[in-house]
Amino acid sequence: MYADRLKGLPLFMAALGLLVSSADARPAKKAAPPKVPVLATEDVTLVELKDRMPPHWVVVNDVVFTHLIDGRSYIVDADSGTYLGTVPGGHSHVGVQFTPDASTLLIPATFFSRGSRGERTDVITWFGLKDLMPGAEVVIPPKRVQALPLLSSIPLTDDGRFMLIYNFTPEQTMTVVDAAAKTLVGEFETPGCALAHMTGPRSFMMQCADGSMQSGALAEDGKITLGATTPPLFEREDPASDKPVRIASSRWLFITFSGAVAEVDNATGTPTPGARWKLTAAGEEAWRPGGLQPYAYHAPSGLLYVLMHEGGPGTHKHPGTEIWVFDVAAKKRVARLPLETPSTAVSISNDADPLLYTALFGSGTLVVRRPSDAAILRKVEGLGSDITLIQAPPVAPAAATAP
Amino acid sequence: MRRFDRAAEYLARSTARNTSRRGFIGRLGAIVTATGAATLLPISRVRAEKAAVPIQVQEEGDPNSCDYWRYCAVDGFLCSCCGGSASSCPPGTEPSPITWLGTCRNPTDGRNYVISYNDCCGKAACGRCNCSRDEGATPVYQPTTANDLDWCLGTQTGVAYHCSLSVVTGPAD
Repeated sequence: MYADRLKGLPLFMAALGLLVSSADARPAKKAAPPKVPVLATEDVTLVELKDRMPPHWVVVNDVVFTHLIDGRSYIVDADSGTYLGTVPGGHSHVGVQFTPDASTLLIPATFFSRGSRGERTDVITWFGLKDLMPGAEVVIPPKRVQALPLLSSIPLTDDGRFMLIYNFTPEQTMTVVDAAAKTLVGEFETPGCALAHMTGPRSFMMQCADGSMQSGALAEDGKITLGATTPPLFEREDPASDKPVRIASSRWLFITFSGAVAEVDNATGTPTPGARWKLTAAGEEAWRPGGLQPYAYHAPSGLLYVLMHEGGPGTHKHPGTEIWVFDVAAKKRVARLPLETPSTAVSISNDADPLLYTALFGSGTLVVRRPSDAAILRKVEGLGSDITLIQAPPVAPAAATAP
Repeated sequence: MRRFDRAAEYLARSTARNTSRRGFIGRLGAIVTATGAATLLPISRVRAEKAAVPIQVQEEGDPNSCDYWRYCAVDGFLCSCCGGSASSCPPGTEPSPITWLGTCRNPTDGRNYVISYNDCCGKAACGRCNCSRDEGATPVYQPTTANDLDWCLGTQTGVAYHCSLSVVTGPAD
């Protein structure tokens, strides 16, 4: 059948060749160029961004797992899906910390003098949002923990005064930097305990290997004093994730691998366990939280968004196939939102009319969603290789209205 | 040697803190107590070989596959795909002197074995055969069983992570 059709092909091609030849033989007619103004001479220009990060701009972090020395942050306008700029992050990139006015990004980073080898330098660098150029920097002890990214390994106090850096060498210590004076305060021992979850302008909680919590306080000169500890709050077989959720100045939700929730308040300087509840109801035990950034809390609405998947023990890094939404005050699920694409990170903007963000490690795609039903509003593709954490900027308090 | 000493001290302290734990951590504590922390450190057994050491003859499975039994708790690039093997670092890299331990069941003999997940360090990531299984892995604040940490921190060549080993250190039971 097909062979019969092909029999005529040489004749057709020959005829086509004649047509082309005869067309070539005709005198060429030059089409008159359109009459448009001559292009103006251009200057090279350089883009400047805004002074402060709007609520719907977002920082997307890429650890670049196959080229770990080249971590970076991408800045994206999630309203338009526009890629705005890049900030370099170095080896084992975690993320950024925003100054409270969202005008500046502080980035702790690790570099080697000869690319992937040579002398190690750890440094905190200030990048102004407007020009995204490296500004001031403070060299810190070359000990910051190298791990999958955890924002509680690089917290900034709420007033932007001090930055804390969790070190693991494997000795456990905390470096403190005075972010106002841009000087190193010192390094303080935190034996057996890790990370710093801020609970006030000068206080924090740490998670310890035996499942207990350790409180810590910063003096006005930045020196750390360790305070009270709790008995172990979690079983070894079902540990609390190292990615807790801050729901108020001094209160955090610690959520175990199986989805058990424990609230801990450090308002008094002594970590105090509060309400315990579960993400799953009877019959839902197969569902678990998972991913690199499984939780996003939206303070204005009091809603917690959790990436959930079906799986057993050892699946705490599996991507979520649904987002479950919880009213934290009521300790009640208010929605189950299936995702068309599994996701390892979820985040939400901090304004009253928020955008929900998801990404899958390895996809290079940020998905911008409507929070009420996770409907896709737009996708921003080509964002590097290994998206880890998505960070929405702080929303500055509304300016006082003029009398 | 200073880093090596610190690592041994750390493991001893960490084990002491975790002696109340059940399961394989308890067994790990027994091993450390009985033999001393330093003998647990894989660097004491590092030797040069002309070729990557293959899996043992009585084992089954493909060490280039993430499904291979020793990889039950690994998270990283498999050294088997990077010029090494499940127990050999690729040339020009440095084995991490300290690491975290997991327990995996060998399907051939049905026994559980303690597996040491040393990293090979000093070059940028290999990028081949990424494998993340995480059975028994814990958060980073429980470091002796955490696979989210870059364990190259004890090497002389720096913390650049290249690939992950899965070395049999002995039966777990």
